Amino acid sequence: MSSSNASVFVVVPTYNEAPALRKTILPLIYSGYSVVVVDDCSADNTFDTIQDLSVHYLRHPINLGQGAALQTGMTYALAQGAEYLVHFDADGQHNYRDIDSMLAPLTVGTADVVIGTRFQRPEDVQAVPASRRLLLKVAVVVNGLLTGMWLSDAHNGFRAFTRSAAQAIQITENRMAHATEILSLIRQAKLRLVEKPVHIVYSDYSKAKGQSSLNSFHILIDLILRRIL
Amino acid sequence: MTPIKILLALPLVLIILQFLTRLNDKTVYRISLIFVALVGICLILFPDISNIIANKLGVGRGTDLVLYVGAVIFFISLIVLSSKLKKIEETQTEIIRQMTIEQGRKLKAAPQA
Repeated sequence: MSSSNASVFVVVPTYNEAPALRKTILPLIYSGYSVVVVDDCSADNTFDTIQDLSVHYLRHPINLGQGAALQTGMTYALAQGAEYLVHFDADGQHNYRDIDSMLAPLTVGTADVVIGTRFQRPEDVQAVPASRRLLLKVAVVVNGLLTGMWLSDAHNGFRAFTRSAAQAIQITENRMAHATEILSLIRQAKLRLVEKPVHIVYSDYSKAKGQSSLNSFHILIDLILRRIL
Repeated sequence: MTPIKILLALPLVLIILQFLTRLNDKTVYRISLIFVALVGICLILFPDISNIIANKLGVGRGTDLVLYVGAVIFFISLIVLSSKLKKIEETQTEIIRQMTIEQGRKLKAAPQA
C-alpha cells in the first residue's frame, strides 16, 4: 500500500448497485486509493454491504443522477485534499489495474485529463457487444459535433483528472448527458486531454444494469435542450 | 399575409424568447402576461374584433386566429416554464450537494482484513 495512492481519490457513484459495489471497491481499498462512494439515494442495502470498509461515504437524500453524484464526489474529494481524481463505475465494469496507466500522463505532466477508451486495443474492442459498438460510434460523432472534441470512445465513465483540472470542471448535467458536458468543459478550460486504453467487462450484471439503447435518445434530447434553454 | 406565415415566424419568436429568458427579465414576462389578459378581455366584450383582425392578417375566421396565436403562446409558455424548472433543479442540486458533503464521513479508519 503506497502512501502516494492515498492522494488519489477514486469517486464511485452508485445507485442500487449493492450486489456489485463491494467487489468493485475492495481492490481499490487494497491498492491504497482513497475511495469516495457517492450513494445516489439507493433504495437497496448499499450501505450495509460496505459499512465495514475504509471508504468515504456520501449519500444524496434524494436521487439526482450520475452526473450530480460525480460532481458531489469531486467537490468532496477536492475538499479532502485530493491530488488526483478518478471516476470509476460501481457495477464492476472497470478494472482497477488500469488506474495506474490512466494516472501516468497526469503524474509526468503531459496531460490534465485522461479518459479511458475501448477502441485502441483490439482485445478491448472485442469485449464490446457489437450493437453497443455501433451506438458508441454514433455517440462519438454526436459528441464531436456538439463539443468539438473528437475521441475514439464516447460515454466511457473511466476518467482521471489532476487536482487543478477537477477544479476547473463543474458538472451541471445531473443525468447521463454529463459525459458530453465534461468534454465541453475540458475544451472550454483548455485542458490537455489524452485517451488511454482500458478494458471494460460486459458482465450479464453490468449489461442488465447499464444504459439501455433507449437512454441514448434521452441523452440526445437532454443535450439539445441544454443548447436551447 | 397568410396563416402559414405565422407558423413560419415561430422560429423567430423562439429566438427572441431565448434572448428574453437568458436575460431573466421579469418585466417583459409580466407585461406580456397583462397584454394577453387585456386582449382576452377585449375579445370577450367585443367578439367581432377577432374576425376583423383575422381578416386583416389573412386568416379566414377569428376563431382560427385565436387558435394559432394560442398555440404559439402555449409553446412559448412551455419553454419559459422548462427554463425556470431547470433553474430550480440547479438550486436544488446545489443545496443537496452541500448537505451531502457536510454529512459525508469516513466509514472506518483502519484498513480491512
